[in-house]
Amino acid sequence: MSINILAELDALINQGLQYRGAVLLTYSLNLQFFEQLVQPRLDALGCTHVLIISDTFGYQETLERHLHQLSGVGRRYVCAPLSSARRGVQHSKMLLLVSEKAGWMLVGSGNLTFQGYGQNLELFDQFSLQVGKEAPTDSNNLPLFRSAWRLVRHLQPTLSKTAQTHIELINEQVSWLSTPAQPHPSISLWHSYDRPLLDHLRQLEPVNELQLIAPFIDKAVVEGLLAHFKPNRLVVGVNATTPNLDASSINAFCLSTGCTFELRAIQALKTESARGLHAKAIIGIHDTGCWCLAGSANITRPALVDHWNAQGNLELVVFRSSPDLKAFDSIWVNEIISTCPASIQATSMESVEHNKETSTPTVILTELAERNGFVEGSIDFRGDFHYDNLQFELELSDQTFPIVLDSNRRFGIQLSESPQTPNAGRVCAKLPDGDTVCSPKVFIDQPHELEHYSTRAFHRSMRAKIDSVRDAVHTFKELMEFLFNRVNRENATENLSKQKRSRRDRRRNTVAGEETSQSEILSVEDFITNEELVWHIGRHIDELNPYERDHYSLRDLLSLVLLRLTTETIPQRVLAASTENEEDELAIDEELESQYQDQRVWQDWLVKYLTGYCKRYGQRLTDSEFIENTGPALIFQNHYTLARILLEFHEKTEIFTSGHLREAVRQIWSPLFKQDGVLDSFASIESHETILRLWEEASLTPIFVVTVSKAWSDPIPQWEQHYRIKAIQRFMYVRRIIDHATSHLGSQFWQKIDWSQVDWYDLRGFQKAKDLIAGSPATEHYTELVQRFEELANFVTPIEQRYAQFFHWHQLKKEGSVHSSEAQNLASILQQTDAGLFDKIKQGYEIRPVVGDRRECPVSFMELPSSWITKLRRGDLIESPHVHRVLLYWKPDLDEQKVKLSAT
Amino acid sequence: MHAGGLDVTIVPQWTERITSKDVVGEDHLGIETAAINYQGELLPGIITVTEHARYYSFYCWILWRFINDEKHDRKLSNFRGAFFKRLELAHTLACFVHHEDGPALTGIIGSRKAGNIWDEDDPINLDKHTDRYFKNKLGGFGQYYLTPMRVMGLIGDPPNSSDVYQLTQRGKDLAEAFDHAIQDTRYYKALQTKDVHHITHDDAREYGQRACLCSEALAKGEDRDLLREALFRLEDGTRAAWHHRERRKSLALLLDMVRKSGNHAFRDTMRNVLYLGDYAAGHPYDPVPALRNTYRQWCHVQTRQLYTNALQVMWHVFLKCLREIDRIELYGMSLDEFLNWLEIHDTKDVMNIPLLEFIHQPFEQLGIPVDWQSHTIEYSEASKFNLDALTVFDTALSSKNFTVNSAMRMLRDLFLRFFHLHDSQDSLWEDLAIARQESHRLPMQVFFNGFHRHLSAKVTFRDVVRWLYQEYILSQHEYMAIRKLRYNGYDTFKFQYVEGRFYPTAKVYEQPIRHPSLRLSNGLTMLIDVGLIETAGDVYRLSDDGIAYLQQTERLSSEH
Repeated sequence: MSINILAELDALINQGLQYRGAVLLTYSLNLQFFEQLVQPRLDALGCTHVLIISDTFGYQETLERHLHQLSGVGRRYVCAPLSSARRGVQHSKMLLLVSEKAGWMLVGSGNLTFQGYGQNLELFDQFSLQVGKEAPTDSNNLPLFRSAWRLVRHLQPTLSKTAQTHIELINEQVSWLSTPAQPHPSISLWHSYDRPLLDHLRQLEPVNELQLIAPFIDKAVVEGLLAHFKPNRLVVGVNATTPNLDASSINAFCLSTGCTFELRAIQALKTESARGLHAKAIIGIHDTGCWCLAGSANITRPALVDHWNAQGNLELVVFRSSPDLKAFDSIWVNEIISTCPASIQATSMESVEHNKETSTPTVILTELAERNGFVEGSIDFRGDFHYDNLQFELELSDQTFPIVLDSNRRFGIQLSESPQTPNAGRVCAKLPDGDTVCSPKVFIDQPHELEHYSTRAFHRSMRAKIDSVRDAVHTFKELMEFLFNRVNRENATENLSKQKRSRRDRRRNTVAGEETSQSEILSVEDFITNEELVWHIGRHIDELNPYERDHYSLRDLLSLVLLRLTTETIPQRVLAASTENEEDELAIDEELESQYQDQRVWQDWLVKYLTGYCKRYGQRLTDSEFIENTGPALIFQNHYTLARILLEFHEKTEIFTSGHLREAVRQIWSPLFKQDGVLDSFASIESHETILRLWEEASLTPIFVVTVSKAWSDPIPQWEQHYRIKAIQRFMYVRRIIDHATSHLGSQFWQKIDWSQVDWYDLRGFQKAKDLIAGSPATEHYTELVQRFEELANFVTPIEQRYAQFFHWHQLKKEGSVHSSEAQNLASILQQTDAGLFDKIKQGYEIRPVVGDRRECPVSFMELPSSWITKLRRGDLIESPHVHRVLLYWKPDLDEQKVKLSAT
Repeated sequence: MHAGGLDVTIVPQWTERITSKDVVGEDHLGIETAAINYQGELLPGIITVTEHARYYSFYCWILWRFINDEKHDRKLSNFRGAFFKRLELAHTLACFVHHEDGPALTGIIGSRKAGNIWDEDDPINLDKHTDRYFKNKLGGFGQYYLTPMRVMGLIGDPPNSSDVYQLTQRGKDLAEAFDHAIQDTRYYKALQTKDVHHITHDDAREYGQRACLCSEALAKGEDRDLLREALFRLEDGTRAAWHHRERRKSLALLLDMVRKSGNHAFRDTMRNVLYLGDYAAGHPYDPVPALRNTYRQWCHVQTRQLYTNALQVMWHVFLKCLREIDRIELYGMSLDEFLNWLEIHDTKDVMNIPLLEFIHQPFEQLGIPVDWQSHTIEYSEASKFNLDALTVFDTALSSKNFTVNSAMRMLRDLFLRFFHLHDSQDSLWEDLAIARQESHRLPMQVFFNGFHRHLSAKVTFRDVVRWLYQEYILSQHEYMAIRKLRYNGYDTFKFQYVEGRFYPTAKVYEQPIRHPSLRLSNGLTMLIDVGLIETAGDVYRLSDDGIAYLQQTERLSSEH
């Protein structure tokens, strides 16, 4: 079994799980890696309070190496150093995700770096937990989460104030973390905060075989383990290239105690890339079972023998026991690693774990936080440092500020403006001998930014969400579910009370400084970080307001996400390529093809998702209780948004076909208009006038007309195609929907719209990149669309078309208008067309259709002879053999549920 | 084994690699894009892979034929593949053979394979080779020209995504003119009656005389004037859209630079003009007033490219060290150990001198008063063709000897030559020097600030090299590799960094060093194609039409 940590996080995202807090423990740290590959996933998982607790080594290293490329530290998440006043290091590694209802945790050997999460050979344990109303449903894991959380709470007082606040907030919001839990006898989490891990190990009985895996192994500690466990056999797995082990000495010790010693070199299978061993495990096998300890602890003194409050490291490990003697064999035999015997004689190197000579700083900046330009901090001193009468300075970026310490060693300065990017600072003091002493640098925490982010302001969360195609797909789904769950009537009323957005001209140039500071106006780059999209698409969207969480912004966001998923972008390589370079040529082709295929895969997914979504949406429209509770205003808004998304997707991709659009019309529009449908239900709660007003305010007629016209854009079957029954049924179907709509909205309702005033941007979204760049409104030939709609509204079957003039004269006769000039002109034509047929109509023959598969006369109900049926199907208008003065013709039937709309 | 519902036999799991896809990748510091994007603004519609103007006519013509052929339903899927590639391959062969007796014409799509295909058969079966000469299903059009042709205003968006691209009126005019240019050929006549699946050598030769991309064939075509107009948009005058005006000015700048180039081989001296303002020592270039800002913008492109080169040289040296040190894969190397290695192998004489002393070295060498803040103008003049960044880089290129010492001399020259623009916050300078988007990585303004800060702090040469390696090279590479991992899903790391030490990755890599492409070169070829520039060997002259175009552009630019 193996684990891909990022893929595990993706799996949680795909399951739709949401968490609130995330706490990560690490020794070494790469915040570049975290921001690019982990934080977006935590973001997608809804984590609003993210805290990284790192050893000062990792903290200082990432600060020195990566600060200029970071964007979120102190602003979106908190990174706090954990320093020991003694010699140990914060060496535990954990990723803990918690919400009110769930928990997920990784404990292992990998640091929060590219190597630790996916390059080195590491071991990790994974746990999850669901919490019900009464108690956690998987209560066996609860003690593990509780232990982890207790450790975090132990550390809390030594962290910065901002980090402490984050922990406190998580603790308040996730009450089950503090629920008492009975320890499980077979699995537990051990840490070395106040007790050495060796103390736990000493509780265990001797074993027959002891197995050790670690990149760093101290001979003395091994000897101690052997003395306690008294194994017959010792197996040690080490890094194949750098064993860091004095194997000869250990072998000698084994020989003296009668224990056999086997040394195995561990290396990765199936990769050309170097993967160093960084996993740590101790396995004991005894007569009645076995146990395994795995996590952060090497086989060294600071890891096992000492504890954090003494001179040791802070370590975190998982202990498991099992009655199955082979329970942990798969750690040695699996698809990730291979082992081979290593030469004991050749391996005589001393262990060199963390051999860093770090002097403890005398000045420590324990807090540095900025709010509205005011920077506050506090300083601590180590040893017998005398700071009285010293002048201190705070260094921030390139600037230096004199500071004065109060009695609590706190200080504050006012900056001219708040830093807009992550920043760090340190405090320096000039000593009487002329030397300068400085604290290590710390990141500036910006609590108001963190609060802003943690309140999940919509625009903040969007940036990470459309970065990559995959992110965009998740975002699309999230927004669509938001739309689905958007049933709060008050919310809709509030939105409607806003002045309707005026016709938007995308090219309106905003004068610099015109945008006031009333609300934070973010540039489009803050939403779309994909390079090409920003550059080629986004920079002219002056009035795009996706940060307002109303229905307009929801539509804009969905529209942008769809653009992200459907727009071809130029590989950067094209721009620097040479036509003479074959490698360029092939690589570009591969990249273009890969992008094309990738988008195809996701577009396929989107088609399925949207189809299912419409079905769900439509089904809910048949729930009268839902309809009454939600009310017309909100349903109309949502309907418009959904219709626009469908229309956009259809126009942006070729795979969401007219057929899909027709199916969507069936699912979402038909339930509105049909008898006892949504509009009829509204009649019981609102007046007809109110419903019509709300309908109009929601601009539903234009989008209905456009959607239907585009969905039924195929050629209308003519007489020559009267045999194409399925195609005819599709048009009969749309005619029926329009008829139903007419019964609610009035005759020729599509003609009542002033089409020149329709906001085509609102109607169609950002159809193409060009719409945004060129700035010209998305001009639509609405006259053609309306004309098409009219044709659909007047659709008749090909046979009815063939005899349309006869039917019309028949109708005029029924209305008593045979003497009108129209009837007379028509009569002369019909006389020439088919005098015999016209004669019968003049005589007052009735005209009746035989529908679908029926074989009986619709008047006499007697079965018609086969030859009559054949003629009818052929399209003839013939006299009934059973009833005098009745003319029959054939018409396909229309079962709304069965008609196949998606056929092309 | 379950114990109270908990499966305790789930053992700790080994981690998989984040990705198993390792690729060499390119631009490992991610710093080439800034100059590329800026060039896109200055010369929209022409990129480094759009080498010949006549491809604009030719691809419009293929599209036009497709649109007008009803049997294809105007569906994009029918356009991709055989229909397109038969026409393109026939054209490739025709262009190839048109130059069989002289120097080969560069920039022909698929020309590397054309010779072999030509030699194999007569007649040539076009269907047989459609995937061989070029892989992309829409040939060079899909791979290179589509977006530039959209920017040029020749191609519009399709009505919907399943339909083929539309031609604008300008595109249609070009297509018809090309059609007219070739209609006397046997190949064309055969196309009138059926799809042509074979082409004989004779027919290809005849077709090449009319359809070739070169200036000689284009001079006979009606599409030449239309191409000139598409490039310059003179008829639109001052009403032309912003991006068309920018292209017009950049092309006019080329005309102006050629006009004043005298007997110098212009292509070889173009970078000198852009970086130093001189074709050669004693032969300065003075742009016409209307094009001064355009000239300065292109100068800044060249500056950014040299800045990029200097950093890439430093990256090159680091990778070289990773390859050369014994057993480094076991023990790795810290940054300080690398600096020590540099001191021995590369920067021995300067490593521990104060940065200020390093800055002042050329002043002493050139006999200029040793005060960089007061005498940069003298320095800029005196150091030309000697100590300037372009000369240093060209020298390193020709000797293939890339050192941190030379990279630092390049950065020194850049700093001294342009500090006054940086310091005065010159708006044109800041156009490119300030980061406006993520791709504009390691902006020059930040470098200048940092370099100046170090200079003021009286640090040593070693401190600056350390700073540059830490922030501009090593963490920058990690940043780019992580981004590529995120967006492309592949691993381009060239080293592993573990707790303060750098380890080489399994695959050895050497950073190639060269001058990045300059789109003005492509513009130059196009101006030669359309007959505005005439060539006599390496020496270029404006044709009469070229002079007229320059004057008209000058007039329009002054009016605007």
